[in-house]
Amino acid sequence: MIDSQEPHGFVINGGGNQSSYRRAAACAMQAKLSNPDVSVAIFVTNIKTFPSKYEECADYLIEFPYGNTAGESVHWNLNDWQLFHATPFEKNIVLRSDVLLLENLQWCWDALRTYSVCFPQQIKTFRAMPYLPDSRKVWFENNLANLNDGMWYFDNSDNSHAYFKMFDVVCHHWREMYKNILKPEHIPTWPQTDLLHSITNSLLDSYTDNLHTNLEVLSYTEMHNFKNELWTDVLNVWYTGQLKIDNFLQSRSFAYINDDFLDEELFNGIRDRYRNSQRKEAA
Amino acid sequence: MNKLAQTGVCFFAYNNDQLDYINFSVLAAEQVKKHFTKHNNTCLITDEAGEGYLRSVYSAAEIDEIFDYIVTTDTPGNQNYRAHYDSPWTEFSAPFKNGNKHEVFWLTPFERTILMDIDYIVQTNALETVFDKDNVNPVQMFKDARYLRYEYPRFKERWLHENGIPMLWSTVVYFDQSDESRLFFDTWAHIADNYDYYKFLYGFESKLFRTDFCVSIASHILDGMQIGDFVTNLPGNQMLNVDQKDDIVESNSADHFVFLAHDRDEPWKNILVKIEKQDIHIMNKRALGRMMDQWEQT
Repeated sequence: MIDSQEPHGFVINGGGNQSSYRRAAACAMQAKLSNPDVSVAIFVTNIKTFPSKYEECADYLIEFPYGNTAGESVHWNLNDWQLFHATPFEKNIVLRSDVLLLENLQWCWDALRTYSVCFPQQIKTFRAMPYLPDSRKVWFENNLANLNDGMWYFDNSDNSHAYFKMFDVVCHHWREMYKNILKPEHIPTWPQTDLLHSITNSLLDSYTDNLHTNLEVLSYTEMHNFKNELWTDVLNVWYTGQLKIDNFLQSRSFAYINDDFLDEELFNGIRDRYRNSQRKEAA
Repeated sequence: MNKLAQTGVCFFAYNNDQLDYINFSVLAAEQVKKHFTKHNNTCLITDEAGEGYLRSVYSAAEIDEIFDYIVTTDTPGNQNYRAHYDSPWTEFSAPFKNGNKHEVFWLTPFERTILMDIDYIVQTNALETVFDKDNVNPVQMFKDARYLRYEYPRFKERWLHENGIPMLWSTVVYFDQSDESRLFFDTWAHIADNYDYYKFLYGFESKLFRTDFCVSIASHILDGMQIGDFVTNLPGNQMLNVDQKDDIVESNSADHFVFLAHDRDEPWKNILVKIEKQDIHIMNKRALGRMMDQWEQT
């Protein structure tokens, strides 16, 4: 872990290709729009390939110190175990790159002060109704507890270090972990970050410590696709500084999951608002 | 404008050639008079034809006993034909004159009002609690309902469309004369005036003008485009609905009903349901009318 400079900040895994960089840039800009006093760090696999046009979006641009665990794949999440070792913050909220932070999380930092690592238990639909993904039925059959990874928290404590040590192992050996922990018919073909975190917590027997008792802390809206259709093909989206999905104003953090959601219009809207906010501050 | 009384219940009734809404309003008002212990002023809002019909059927003394106030309006312009059922086996069409329901805010003679549909039959004084002095809610409605088999309403009676906003029931509306209440009714009026626009914006397909949809959209807008509690729930939390395809088997008064509750999937299968001492929303108006005729004859 580098010498911590700031008390808290947002951390985003920016991955290693143009698509993931763009997602991370939008995530960072929106985070700074809604939380102007909080710094943002974007982690990437290769700083040299990160577009200079996005450098304005974050306060820190950091290359993963221990190489790209994802290898040739696009499963950039497999590098998350390195966040602990390179973050510039003492307390960190990790934002998945497809999350738009639409709320000020000042109250969350306060609510997390007694936790070393913390995951949200509850996610909601765009209508703000609690939602349990279908995949969790499989988790429960395999004695894994529900948690979510769109936003999660860690600090620089020894407990957190211990968690990341185990998470390191899980990320490197996710296939073996799946085989050992999941029933054969339940094994996914790709490393799902939320599942990896649940496996890590299961191995450490740390669910009680790492799941917040207040279901609203770190809770966010996560979109999900319909059986035969992408949600972006079905629901209307309006962005005018505020985000509305089919007449529902989104006021929580919002995980859009589909890349086609972040079209040019939306990305430019976020970027223009971000640049305006920076100009006002400069003035 | 100073209102004429502190509290009371308003009914809209505009007759058509199929259904005697005036007569239904008399029944509904009588039940309020009978069961509400203290806040039982009633007001009929109708057109000239409706008032004339009322006076032709009932004596002045009878009318004075039933309605404390009568407010006359123009007949609502919207014809709004809707399909009605009388059991699963009979269907008919009749105009549904509901286009001015939002005007009750200005038409009511009461400071605090319950607007009640004429097919809502009270058998208790549960709703009367909204008139308690410590009730600070400006607008209240039922947000949920059950049918006689204790089933949830059909999907289209719970959400305006698959990914849409929740539906509120405008069958019973409590409101006061506060600024918040006025804002709600202004919004309702705006939506009614621009119904086609809001139909497309909120994604529901319905040729019928429905006040349930208007109040649902108004509530959603005033909740900041989220599900919230600008409009709070009425006492009891759920309304009990009698479907149009249900029938009344036996009734000796408006305080006793035995219904034939049909199965939605296999409508020839029924169960008997007795309802007493419970407020009910009887949507099969022809069945209610038949019972009223029977009560008169006995």
